[in-house]
Amino acid sequence: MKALPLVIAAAVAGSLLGVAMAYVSVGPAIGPQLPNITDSNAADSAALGDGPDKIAAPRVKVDNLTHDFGVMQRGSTESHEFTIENVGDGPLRITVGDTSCKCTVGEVEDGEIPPGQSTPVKLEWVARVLAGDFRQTANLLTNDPLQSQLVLTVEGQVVEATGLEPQDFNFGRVSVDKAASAKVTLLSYDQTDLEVTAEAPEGRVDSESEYTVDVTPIAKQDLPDKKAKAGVSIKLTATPGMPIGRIHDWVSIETNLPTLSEFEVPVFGRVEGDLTIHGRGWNPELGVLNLGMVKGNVGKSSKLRVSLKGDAATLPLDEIKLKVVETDPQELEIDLGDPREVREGVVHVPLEVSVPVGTRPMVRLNSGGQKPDGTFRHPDGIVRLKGENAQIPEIELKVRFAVE
Amino acid sequence: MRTPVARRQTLLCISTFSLLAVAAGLLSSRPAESAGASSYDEDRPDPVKANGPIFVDWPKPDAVLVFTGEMQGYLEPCGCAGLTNQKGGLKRRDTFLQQLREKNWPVVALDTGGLIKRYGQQAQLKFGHAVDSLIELGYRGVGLGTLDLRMDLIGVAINLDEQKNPLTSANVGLFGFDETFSRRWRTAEVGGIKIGFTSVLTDSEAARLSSNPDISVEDAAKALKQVAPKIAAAQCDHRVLMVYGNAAEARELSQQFPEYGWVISAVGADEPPHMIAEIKESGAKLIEVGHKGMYAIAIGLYKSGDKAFRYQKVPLDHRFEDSASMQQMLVEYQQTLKTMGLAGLGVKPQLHPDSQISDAKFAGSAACADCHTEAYEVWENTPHAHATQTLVDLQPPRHFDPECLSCHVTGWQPQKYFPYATGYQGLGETPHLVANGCENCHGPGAEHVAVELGEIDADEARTQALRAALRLKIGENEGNKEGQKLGPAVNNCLQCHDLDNSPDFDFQEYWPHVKHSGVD
Repeated sequence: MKALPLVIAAAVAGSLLGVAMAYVSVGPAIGPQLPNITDSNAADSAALGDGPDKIAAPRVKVDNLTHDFGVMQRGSTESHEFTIENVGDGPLRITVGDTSCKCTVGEVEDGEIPPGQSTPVKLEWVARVLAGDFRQTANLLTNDPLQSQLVLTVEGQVVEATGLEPQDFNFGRVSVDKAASAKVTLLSYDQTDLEVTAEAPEGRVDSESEYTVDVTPIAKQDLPDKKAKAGVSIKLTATPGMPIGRIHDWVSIETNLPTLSEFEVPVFGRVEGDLTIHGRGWNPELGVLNLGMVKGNVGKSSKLRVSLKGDAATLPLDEIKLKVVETDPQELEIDLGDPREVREGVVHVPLEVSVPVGTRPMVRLNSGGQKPDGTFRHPDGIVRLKGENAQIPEIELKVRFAVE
Repeated sequence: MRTPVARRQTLLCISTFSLLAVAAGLLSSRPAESAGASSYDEDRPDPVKANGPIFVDWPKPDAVLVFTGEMQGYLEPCGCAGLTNQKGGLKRRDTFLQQLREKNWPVVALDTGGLIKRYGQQAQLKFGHAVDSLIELGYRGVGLGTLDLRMDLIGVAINLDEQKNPLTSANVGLFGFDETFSRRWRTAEVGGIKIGFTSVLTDSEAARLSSNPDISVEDAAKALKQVAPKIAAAQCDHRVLMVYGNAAEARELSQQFPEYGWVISAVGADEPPHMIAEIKESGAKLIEVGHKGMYAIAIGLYKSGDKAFRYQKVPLDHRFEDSASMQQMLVEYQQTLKTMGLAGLGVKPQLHPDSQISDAKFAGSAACADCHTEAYEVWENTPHAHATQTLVDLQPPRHFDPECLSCHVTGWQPQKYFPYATGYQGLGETPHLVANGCENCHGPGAEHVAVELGEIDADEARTQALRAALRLKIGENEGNKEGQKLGPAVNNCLQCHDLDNSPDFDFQEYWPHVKHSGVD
């Protein structure tokens, strides 16, 4: 027992020694002094750490931590030399830490900068990214006790030799009985003789609508960007009768530009009839509400909105009444809310479809192999709604789910 | 009296204890973030060393504002290869926010919007998933980006719990700013600090919107003038303006509305700056959030002390473990893709560009092996040969996700996420087209195979033409690096080995590992 005080004393002494050794080996646990809480564009640790009883130590100084490359052509390369200066008393060592994946840092000469000396560090960047603003960084690790990390930054804007604006033909929301059109502009910044041909998409086989595409040169004085040397407007038109649902096609374009001889531009949009359904899990192309996997002891539901336009939306609200005429399986619960005019000519009827708590296990995923009549062994569930007024069309929703 | 043995035991005990204590002292004095550095190696580099430590010397803030944005559909870290080297993802973001909360730092998380970048049913599902995830992460406000507004916003918003719905925009709303769907401004109070915030879509971004009669869009400045007295009346300690626009537009709005001390620009550079910038004209601080959800910006707010705030750019790298709750949500998202199937996701097969040369049908790599045995054996031993299995083995499996399938199967357009006619449809439907096979680079070869096997007739000219169409010759000094010549062979590679998914791709370095040529 007499040894116990000795053991405690040794433990305390050992701990203090350990802490002291750790302090010497890693320095105060201040971590890197990231110059990130001011908007200063310079690093000068001397200003932070000088004092009357200072010991010989390196001090790193960089006048500008950020360099702006300005506008860069896509694919071009730019570099900048930062000057790293040692304004301290001891030799400054710098090593290259992490850099953004598209930066390269030049060799640091000799790895050690004597007091009063400086060395260049080069950042080079190849602008192989899409047009837009960029920022790339490189971390330098130093032995300056007050600034163990420096972040060098290069930034700027990447532009293309050609510009396509917007990047797609977007029809937005289109009524099924209306034509639709959308336009893009192709500009060349380095070539005056721009030749462009465009091929309209074939469209869907079940569509009555046809696409046409027109390419029109833009006069020099009318170019939307004065830096451009030539440009064309490409207009895509769809005649009425596109199938209800999302549009997702492609226009093929060929040019005489060596950097962009052939490319495709997507066509987006949504075609709607007088009845649309909105809701989480609703797939308008398939007419399916996907509830996915449902835990029997939890249940699941989705709120939908039945959106009525056209004749149905002209009825007085109290005459817009929907009723459930079929659910398969019968366990599906349907809750219909009161109709509400959300804007002129558009009435919404809230609809909630639920697989209630306690529903027996079942699979209604339109799966399990096809039967001779073409239906699946585990078909989607069905909800059929009908308006009490003839102007409201019958609504059928398939419900895809499986109860575990 | 103690025996010599007992004395030796005591000395040994003291010595051992001293050594242990020294070791304990050493360990306890190590900077916290490097304590786990030994678990990193060349394959899994130390993220703190790579991207810097965070929150160094931060005293406990009274409140923390966390800003993110421009996720652009990246639910997981940017790109799919070498995840340890890449940043972002909701699982890491969740862990980051959890760590702040575990430290009892009161957090207000806000997102600028820009949750998705594509269009179609998968983008719609992803948008809903992203909003749900941000709610699960405790976000108090989420702005609306230009591409978000192509989605069926009604369908998503009506299913949100009104108390948790974070959708916020001063100048974009549904049906005349019906508050059922979104709010024009909101407040959040944590740690005794009240934050008022709103977001706007800039006029230039609004001009890019397509027609949608359900969506109301107002001029950004006009809308901010309308909400200004309301936020002022709420007597907030800090006001935040999230601008879905570039930094220049954010600066301009800040000059008009200097009451917002924090201005967040969504459409800035790909990486946030290391330092916070000040807008001199308004005195506000300008924050950029970068792209693809790779970073979060944390602002520590202090009621007292030497600094009123501290700024930290947080790289969402693998220092943050994957969170279980976001993993579960990802499982559910992938499950939804599975139950909808390719047709339900609107993924329609398209004609292959080679359809003018051949019947453009895919035969599968095994069909090539009959004559190109050596080339096939090389391929068989490359990662290309088990590209689909890689997806199947992931947790959750990703082989129902068109965005993953496009580079992991045979017969898809890699960058546009659709299959070519007769391309891969599923493990059961087209088992011969699993893996990133020969025909992805060489083109569909079914007609060539049929001709060579004598299954269909073709004259010599046709036979040679079909062979020529599949031949891919590497040009002199062809490559994707500076000073090398980019040609059709390397362009093929770059369709999948792009900057997101294969940032270190160097054709001339990679080619020897997959090098093959012609018929045996």
